[in-house]
Parts: sequence; structure tokens; C-alpha cells
Amino acid sequence: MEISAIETQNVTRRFGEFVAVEDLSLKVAPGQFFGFLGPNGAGKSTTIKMLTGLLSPTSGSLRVLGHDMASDGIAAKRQMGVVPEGLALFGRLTAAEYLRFVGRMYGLEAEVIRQRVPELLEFMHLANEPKKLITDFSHGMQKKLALAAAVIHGPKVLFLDEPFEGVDAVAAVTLKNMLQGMIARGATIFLTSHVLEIVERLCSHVAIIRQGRLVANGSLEELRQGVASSETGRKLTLEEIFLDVVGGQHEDEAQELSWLA
Amino acid sequence: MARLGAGSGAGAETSAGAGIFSRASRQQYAAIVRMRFDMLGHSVRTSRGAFDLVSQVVSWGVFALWGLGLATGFGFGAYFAVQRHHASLLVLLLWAALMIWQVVPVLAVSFRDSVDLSSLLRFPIGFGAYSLLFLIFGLLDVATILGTAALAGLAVGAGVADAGMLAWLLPALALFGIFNLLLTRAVFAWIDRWLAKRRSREILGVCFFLLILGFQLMNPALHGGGHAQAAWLGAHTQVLMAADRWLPPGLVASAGQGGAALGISLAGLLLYAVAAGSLLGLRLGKQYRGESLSEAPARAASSSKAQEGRAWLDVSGLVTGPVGAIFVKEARYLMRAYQLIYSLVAPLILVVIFSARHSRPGAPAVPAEYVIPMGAAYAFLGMTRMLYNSLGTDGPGLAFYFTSPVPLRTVMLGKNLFHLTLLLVELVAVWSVAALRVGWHDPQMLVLTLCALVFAIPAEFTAGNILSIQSPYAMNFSKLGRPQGAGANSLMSLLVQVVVAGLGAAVFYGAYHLGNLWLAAPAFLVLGVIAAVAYWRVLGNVEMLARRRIEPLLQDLAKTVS
Repeated sequence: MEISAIETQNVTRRFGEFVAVEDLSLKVAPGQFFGFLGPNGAGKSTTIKMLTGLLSPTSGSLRVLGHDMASDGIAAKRQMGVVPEGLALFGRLTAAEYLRFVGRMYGLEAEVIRQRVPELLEFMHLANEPKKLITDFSHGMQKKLALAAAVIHGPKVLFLDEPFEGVDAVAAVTLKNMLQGMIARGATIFLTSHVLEIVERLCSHVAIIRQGRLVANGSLEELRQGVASSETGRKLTLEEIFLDVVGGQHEDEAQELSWLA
Repeated sequence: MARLGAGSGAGAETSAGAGIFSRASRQQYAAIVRMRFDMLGHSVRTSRGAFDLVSQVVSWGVFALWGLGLATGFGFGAYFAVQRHHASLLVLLLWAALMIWQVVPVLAVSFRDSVDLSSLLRFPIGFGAYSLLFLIFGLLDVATILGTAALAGLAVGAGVADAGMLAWLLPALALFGIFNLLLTRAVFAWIDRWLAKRRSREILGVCFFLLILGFQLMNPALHGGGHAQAAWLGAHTQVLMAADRWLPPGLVASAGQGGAALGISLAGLLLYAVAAGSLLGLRLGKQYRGESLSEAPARAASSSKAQEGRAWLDVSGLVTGPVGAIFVKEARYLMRAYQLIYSLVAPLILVVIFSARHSRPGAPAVPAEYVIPMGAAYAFLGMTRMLYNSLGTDGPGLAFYFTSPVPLRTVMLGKNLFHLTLLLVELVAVWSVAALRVGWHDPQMLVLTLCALVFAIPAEFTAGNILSIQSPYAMNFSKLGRPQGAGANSLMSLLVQVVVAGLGAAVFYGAYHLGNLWLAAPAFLVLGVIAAVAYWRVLGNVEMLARRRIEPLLQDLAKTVS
């Protein structure tokens, strides 16, 4: 039986009385480009934090490449790359210094680091700012650097929390190509994004979470069929599926700020 | 359909050009006061926040005592100066007040909480209102409170001696106080502006260091008993007094001559206040117009050979693995944080001063052997922020530690090894300076101090690792002053250092009373074993400690790229 790249079983996370994620069970097969969607506050970031070791679940288990995150998290982390919500950059290093630091933290050989760092900087169009500290980078540049750091060790699973937010169109194309190349080579990508068009274009599988509960999960085609069954049979966009599943269109109709120009 | 109100809303009534006491501005002041109270209320919800508040109350209690002491001292000084008709002594007191107001806060930046008002600029707040708020926050500054207390004491003392002089002294002191308030705010605003750019920050750091060195060395130099200095001062007294007549303290004192002199003095003080206000206005004006300061301008790409050269530290075999990576990263951060470098240099200066006093003939004797243990204590003092807030410089990078395959234990070990290296270098430097100044009088004290370090190093590192996780605060190298949330950490680290130093002193004292100082050595070694065991246990559990506090840790430290 093939081991899932990512697997959660009955995962719940509470913050005091508030339940951020409730009884979440999902599987992501190796090689899948998986989009994790949900409205603000639905529990996306909490889920990705638990999957990447930034947060412990209140109950349930999480496994990445077969490694239990609670008991064998280090082994899982060796094979995963992460671009978390806050990017996790060290502001007072230069881009090259940061990448070398990350490479060493993942145990890469000095020669490999020496080869990959300039290559990644060129690829991300960051090579012409050798002396600039990361703290002086624009948000888009910081995002590209965080992505470079997430892939420097050649991870098998990549977790990306809003990877395209603040990235210019040219860089976005480059990044998409890079991510698709990784998928083609057998990597698994778990991505959250608010830009549904990007998810629709990139992801083969999508899960939607609302108020901490998983409300849809499957391939794009499966979701389309599920939602369209009560409709005309027209091919639905991901936005239509999303709004149907989370019920957004009804909220739109319900409220209006009359004093806004 | 839900409809949320109607009408044009309050936005139409507010405008950037509103007067400082307009309805819109008053609403904004009220909102800010309310926000500060709300923040204060919310801060005590957590035990750490409550402790931080307690530490602030303690700090303010200490400042209040300082203020009271200053007011009393200045009061008595002014009383005797006026009663004995040494009005010129008033000028000295006024210079002292000016120094307290302007220089002391720069030297003791860690006592000053930094409140960043630039975040208010996204609201439609007028320039006048923004400037007024900047000044009001300045009124709460320790320097202003101490300076005001000194001037109030001076006025009371002089008034008791001669009530009639209050007629001219009070308006002159009021103008002098306003000038000082405006000047100190201008100084801090400009320093913050220079700190915002890397190059100017480095230049300012050197100037700051030289300033400190100058002040620290001034005392022994002036008290060195040299006849040359006395002769120089005597010869130039007239020139200095003539110049002083036109400086703010001199203008206050000369206001007492009455008539035209009073008018000239008050006008002069007003001019000084306007000049300081203009300096401040210039800075605030640029802030208000949305000045954007970058850390460093983009520079031309350097050659790959040069980049390779700079990378030697990362790939050299000197330090290997994740511990080496942390070591190198910490070294790079230190090289880019002049505040931390200054805190390492300060103990050396203290030892220079300390040993200079010792070498002065007739000075209160400070036994030379005590220079060794005291130098060690100073060395620890210089490393307080690094040891007790070792995650504080990492900012959002902290999250990386939790997502990387490196256990936090290894990260803390790397940091501890770097800090240990720094501490050893610091100790060698401190003792070398001490040896050059006073010589090696007592090898026994050196050996015993080394034994004491066997206990003090693991003890302080253990406490440092715990506090770094339990009570961290984000350090900002581009702002002058104590970062928000640093109070609890500072107070606790001070307490730990007092306890460790106190234990060391108690062991020395006990051995001294038993008639054999060498008895302290085994006692320190036993304490050292206990401290080392505690260190390894805490290091082993550091992952668990951090995991329990991961949310507040990331919340406190990972908000912005620092």
C-alpha cells in the first residue's frame, strides 16, 4: 500500500473554548498538487501550522511521508519545505547568507550549498542585491527568498501558505513553472491561497475547510460533479464551487453598506 | 437586506489640516488615550503581561525616588547658593539639570520605552496634533521627569532663600524647561532617524561610543590632580564664563540682574526654545509627510569572487553542522547590531574608570584584587541582553527553527556556544585592561574567580535559556530605547544576576571568615556541578518548554522582520 504524502486523522485544535480545526481527516497522495481553501478564519493556517510542526494538535494525528509529526517530526521535516505565513526570514542577513544558513540547517554539504545558492538567487531574480539585508527587501522579494529557502534541500513535500501573495506577475509565472516542474519530478505540494484562479490552474486536488471542518475534498472534477449535480451541468469554476460550498453568495445578498459611496 | 446606518459619517469631519484643539483632534486624542488604557487592561490578562506591568511600576518607583533625590539635592544646592550670595553656583546647577535632561537618557537608553507614533500617520491626523502627541509622550520620558524634578527643586530652594527672586526665576525656568523638553525630543527624533539607515547608524554608533568614552574618561582626567588641567581651566575661566552668559543656563542666571538683562535673557531663552522646536519640527515634518527610510540603498552587484570571499565563514571547516550555522548566524547579527557591540565594549570602559580611580593617589582604596571578580561581573552585565533574550533578535526567523529538522536544543546550544565564546573573549579583554592598569597583584583571586565562573557560567546560561523562552521580547536595532515588553525580562535577568553574584560573594565571605580563601574553590566547584546539571537538564527540555509556549513566542517575536 502506498504511503500518503500527507495524512491527518481526526485532528482537532482548540484555543481555549474556540475550536479552530475540528475532526479533520484528509489524505494527500504523493505527486499531488493539493489546494487547501477556505474563507478567512476557517482554519487553513492552523492546519498548515500543525502539519509543519509550528503547532501541536489538541487531539488526532498528523503524518507526513509516513512519519508521525508528534513522535518523528524531525524525520518528516528533513523531507519537507515550508513557506509559512510570516515567511520565517532572518531580517539582518543578506539573501545569500540566509540561504547558506538554511542549507547548513538541513545538513547539505558545503559544495552543494556553494552550487545551489547562486543558482537559486539567479532563478528568483535576487542575485543583483548581494549586500541588501532581507529586512530591506520588498514583500514580493521576501516571498521569493522564502520559496528559495524552502526548496534548497530538494524537499519531497512542500507546504506553501499563500505563496503568490505580493509576488509580481513575471515572478509568479516563474514560480508556477518551478512548482509544476517539482510535481512532474514526483514532489507533493500542499498550498493555501485566496486566489482561486491560481489554485484552479495549478492544483489537481482541492479541499475546502469552513469553520474548522472539512466540507469538500477531492479532485477538481469530482468537486465539479458534486456541485453541478443540482445545476445545469455546465462546467463550474472553482470560485462557483467554493461559493456554493461555503455559502458565500447568500451572505453577499444579505448585506450592503448603504452609506458607502 | 441589512443596512448599516446612513449619512456621510465622521470621516467628512476629520481632516489633516484640523487645528490641534479642533473637535476632530480632540476625538483623536480621546481615542488614543482609550486605546492605551485598553492595551494596558489587556496586557494584564496574561501572567507575563502582569509581570511586565509590575516591572514597570518598580521602574517608575525607582525613577520617582531618583526624581525626589534630585529635587532635594537641587533644592538644597539652590538654597545655599542664594543664601550665601553665590548666584554663579546656580549656573552650575542649571548645567547639571541640562546634562541630566539631555545626556543621561542617551547614555541610559535601556530605561526609555520607545513608543512609535508613526503608525498613527495612516489616520487623518493633523500635523499639529501629531506634534503635540509626540511632545506629550515626551513628558512621560524619564529624562523629562528627572529634569523637571531638578528644576522644581531648584525653584523651591531658591524661593525659600529669597522669595523675591521667584518673579524672574520662574518664567526663566519655565522657558528653560520648555527648551530642554523640545531639545531632548529633537535629539531622540534625529537619533531615531539616523538609526533607521545602516550607514548613518554605524557612524552614529562610533560617535556614541566616543561620547561615552569621553564622558567616562572625563572624570578621572579632571580629578587626576594634574596642575596642567587646573592651570588651563584658570586661564580660560573668563572665556568660558563669557560664553556661558549666552548659553541657556547662563541666560537663566543672568535674568536675575533685572531690567534690560531680564528681557534679553527671556528673549534669548525663547529663541533657544524656538530653535530646538524648529529642529524637532523639521524632523516631525518629514515623518509626517511619509518619509520612508530604507536600511540600505540598493548597491551595484559585487563580483561573484567577492561574494565567495564573504561566504568563507559559512563553508569553512571552523564550525560545522547546524551548531556551526547558528554560530555564524549569531556572529553576523552581532556585527550588524551596534547596540550589542556597545554593550560588549561598555564593561571595558567601566574597568578603565574603575582602575583609574584606584590608581589615583589618595582616592578611596579599591583593592586591586577585586578588579578581577568585578571585571567578570561587568563582563556578564555586558552580555545580559544576549544571554537572557537569545531569541529576541531572530524575529520571524524563529518560526524557521520550528519547521527545520534541527531540534531547538541544538539551536540553543549553538547560541550558547557563541555567547560563551564572546564571554571568554570579553573576560580576557577585561582582565587584560585591568592588568595593564593595576597589574597582577593577586593570582589567588584570579584562580578563585575562575572557579566562581565554573558556577556562574552554567547558572547564568541556564537562567538565560529559560527566560529567553518564557519572557522574550523582539529587539529592534533601528530604534533607540527599550523595546515593548522588555521590562519583565530585564527585571528577572537583573534578579538572577544579583542572586548569582550574591552567592559568589557569600562563598568568598564564608571562606574569608574561616581564615582560608582557598576554601572557596571547592565550594564553587560543587556549585558548578549543580549548575552544570541544571544547564543540561534545561537544555534537554528546551524543546518541550518552547513547544508549550510556541504560540506566544511566535506572537511576541515573529510579528515583523526586524
